[in-house]
Amino acid sequence: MEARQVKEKFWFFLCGLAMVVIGLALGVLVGFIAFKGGRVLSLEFLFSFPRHGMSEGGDLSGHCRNALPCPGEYPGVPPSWGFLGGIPCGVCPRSPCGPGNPQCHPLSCRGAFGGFRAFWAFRCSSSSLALVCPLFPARSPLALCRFPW
Amino acid sequence: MLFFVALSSVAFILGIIAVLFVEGLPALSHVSLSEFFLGRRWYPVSSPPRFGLLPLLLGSLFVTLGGLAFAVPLGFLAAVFLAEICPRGLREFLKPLIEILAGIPSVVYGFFGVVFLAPFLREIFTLPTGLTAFTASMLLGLMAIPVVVSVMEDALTAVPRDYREAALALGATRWETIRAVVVPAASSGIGAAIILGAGRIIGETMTVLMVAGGAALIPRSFFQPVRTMTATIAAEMAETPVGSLHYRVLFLVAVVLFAITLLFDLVVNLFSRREFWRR
Repeated sequence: MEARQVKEKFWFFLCGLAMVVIGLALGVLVGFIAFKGGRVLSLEFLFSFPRHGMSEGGDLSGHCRNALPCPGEYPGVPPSWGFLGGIPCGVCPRSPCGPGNPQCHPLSCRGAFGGFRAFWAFRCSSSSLALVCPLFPARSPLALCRFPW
Repeated sequence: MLFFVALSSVAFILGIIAVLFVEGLPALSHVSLSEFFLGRRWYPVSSPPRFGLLPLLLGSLFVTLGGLAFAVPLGFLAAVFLAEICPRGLREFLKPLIEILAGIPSVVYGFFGVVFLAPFLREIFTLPTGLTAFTASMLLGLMAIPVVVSVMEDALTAVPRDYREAALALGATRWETIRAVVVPAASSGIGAAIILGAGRIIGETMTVLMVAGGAALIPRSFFQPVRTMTATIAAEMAETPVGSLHYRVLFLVAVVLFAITLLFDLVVNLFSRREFWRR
């Protein structure tokens, strides 16, 4: 086979691969939506909705009531930044840093969120600090309850 | 009747532009242009407030370039596949499939990013958070793909058949024909597709609000959280008193965003006028 034909096959393969990648991305996206949304269709979930929705620390006002300490790697850290509506409050941090780690310490938010304590942040750099401060000003109750990502 | 309907749409657009300028420009009596465009701090409710647009501008630039880095190569190769390689029957099936991506609401992309992609990337790259410019870029790139593929494919299929036949008759392989004849002939459409994709990405709000991390800091890496201009307007407009300086500065940010998208549209028009390039 000539070199130019090999080159042609390579490029055609690459074009096909691009379509496969787009198809896969679409498949994962639609699969994710179907999988997550499909849970609602199960009778068990429907009948147990109040338990899923409210009793794990959150209430419909958006506040997290659960202030239990985290076990294991993060003792003493209150898991108070969960959220309501099926996702439980009381999720402990998954950062590799912790209050026991001398390199990391809790810090306060600055600027727009001055005085707001980033109590679940255990990173030292200012850039990481900003990411864990609430997006909304402190008067929003949601600012206290954030997802663990 | 039709004339008045057409006129009303123009009137709506002019009205929106007028509101942007009327609400936004008074902010310049309190914030200088240099402070606004070159300021490195966006602290709108600190005392005194700081309204430096640079972190937001760079945040928008980061996610736009990142999104294009995903969308353009994938979109170009997919468009070439659809227009030149793929059998007709398969194309009829694949093109609507890609267009499904355009029909998915942006909040669903954001939800997917927050719940699935961000934790996944955080684990893979061992980051402190998965909500970064990189995550936003991936999702925005995916969102821009239908626009890029569709416009590029139209541009490629619009190239006259005679061009291909002439190249093949001269002994070129199919790929050589595509590379040396079809793509250059469709270059204005390809350029327009890239700019339209960029416009789609820079104007996107909900997805970046959810997955870009929301840090109004000057980004130094794609793996840091960023905040874009659109996300800032969406996040802060509801929290600011009407008529305050913060409120007016948010309108000024909208004016900047409008100017950027207008520029993109002008460039697309320029690309579309092939005579411009032939001169």
